[in-house]
Amino acid sequence: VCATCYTDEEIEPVELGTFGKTYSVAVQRMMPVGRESSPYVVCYVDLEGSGVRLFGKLDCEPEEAQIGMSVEVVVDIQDAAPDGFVYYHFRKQQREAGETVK
Amino acid sequence: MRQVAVLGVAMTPFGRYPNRSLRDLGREASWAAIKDAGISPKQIEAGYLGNALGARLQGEMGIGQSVMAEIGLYGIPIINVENACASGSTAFREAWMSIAGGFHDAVIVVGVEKTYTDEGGVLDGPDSEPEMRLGLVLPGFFALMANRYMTEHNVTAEEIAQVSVKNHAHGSLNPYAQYRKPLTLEEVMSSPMVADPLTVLSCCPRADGAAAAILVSEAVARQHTTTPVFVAASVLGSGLGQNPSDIIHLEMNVKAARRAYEQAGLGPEDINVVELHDCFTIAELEHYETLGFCGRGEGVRLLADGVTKLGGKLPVNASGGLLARGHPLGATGIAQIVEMVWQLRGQAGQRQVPGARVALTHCMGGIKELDAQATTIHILRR
Repeated sequence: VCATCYTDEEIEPVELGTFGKTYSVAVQRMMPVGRESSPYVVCYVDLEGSGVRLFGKLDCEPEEAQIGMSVEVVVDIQDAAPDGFVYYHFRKQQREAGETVK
Repeated sequence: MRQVAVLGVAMTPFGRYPNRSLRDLGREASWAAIKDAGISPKQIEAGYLGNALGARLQGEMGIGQSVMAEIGLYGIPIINVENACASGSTAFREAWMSIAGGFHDAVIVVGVEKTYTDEGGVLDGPDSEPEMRLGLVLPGFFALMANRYMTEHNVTAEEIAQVSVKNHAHGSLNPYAQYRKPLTLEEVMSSPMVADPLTVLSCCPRADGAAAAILVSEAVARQHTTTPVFVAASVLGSGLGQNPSDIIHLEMNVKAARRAYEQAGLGPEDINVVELHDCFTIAELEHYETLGFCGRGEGVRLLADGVTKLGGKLPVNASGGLLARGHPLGATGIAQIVEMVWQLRGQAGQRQVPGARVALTHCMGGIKELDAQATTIHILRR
């Protein structure tokens, strides 16, 4: 249901860009027992064009992570959950210089 | 709306109680609060209990009924409240509403929690939020806040870590605090890294404990004391679901604070003493700004100038805060109220803020879409 107009009918999917820049980054080193134990990077990304700020893991070395990095979304199809939740992560942007976002 | 007074308060020291149950900790705080209020349990018309993780960690349900049976409270309405780290303060607000609305004249509110477990480590967040499913843990969220803050305001990790030094110095004066030893900046910075730049000593510890308060109508309060502590404002908000939202200036805190000041007919300049949700060092600085005690990006200056330490103009977390007093989730919001009532009565011992008349508590629970799930603000005055 839309939180602005409260319709449950006229909702349509919107395509967000897959490229963006990190708004903030952090290296999680200490994790709950039973979870992934090696440090990994998490970030919020401002997606180009849509103005959406999106959370995800960032596939890069902890020392590489910085605010303002160019990144892109990678959907992890192999991890699709039974409840339909779509897993994804970010990686360093690999598009060619000058290429525009579709 | 009727005036509501906090007539009695009590808490257990926070710490590690492997051999005590939620029921037992809750009983100690509840009974002591009733004694402190000087009323009979017979006068209590309803009970509210805040707890966040009892179902997950201890496998319990109906903790309110089990705690209140210990002090002889059967038959009355008892309500169990879960609102993440704001469970206790949310229960307090429910109790306040029941008296302000004229439904009851005397009620008890209890917060109790045990978060120590055999395996220890970082506490896991709920899988109900997408961020958590995608790999975020709570210290990570506040590390994201810290890194953004450091970049936008040109602040160092050491400047942020000073929050922990201040609050541990305060905690060393509080016999109810889990940690009663002052720390140096060096000790905070060199403790193991949890999520850069937040070290173990920049994060609140796991803790067990309970706190309780007796709320009454003004008429009942006047029968017992000539100087009641009144609730001047009680506000609860939930995350605003905005995207993009500003991680170093959570809009919900700003809105809740504005509503609280409006309700009390006061402004940030009228507050004498504050207990706020310093779950992580950076959170305290964010809260200075969103609660209106300084401008955006000025939190570090407020801290460095000594304004918020004991002896300063606006002592914050004189109890030691979540960082040193400890953070048994459901008990925290009530423990903040307990501390403020002691401060307003002049009973806070070595950490007393002289002449405190108006106090503010701020408690925040959970993470939802770059905001908190719940924020409560209470203003007390005498």
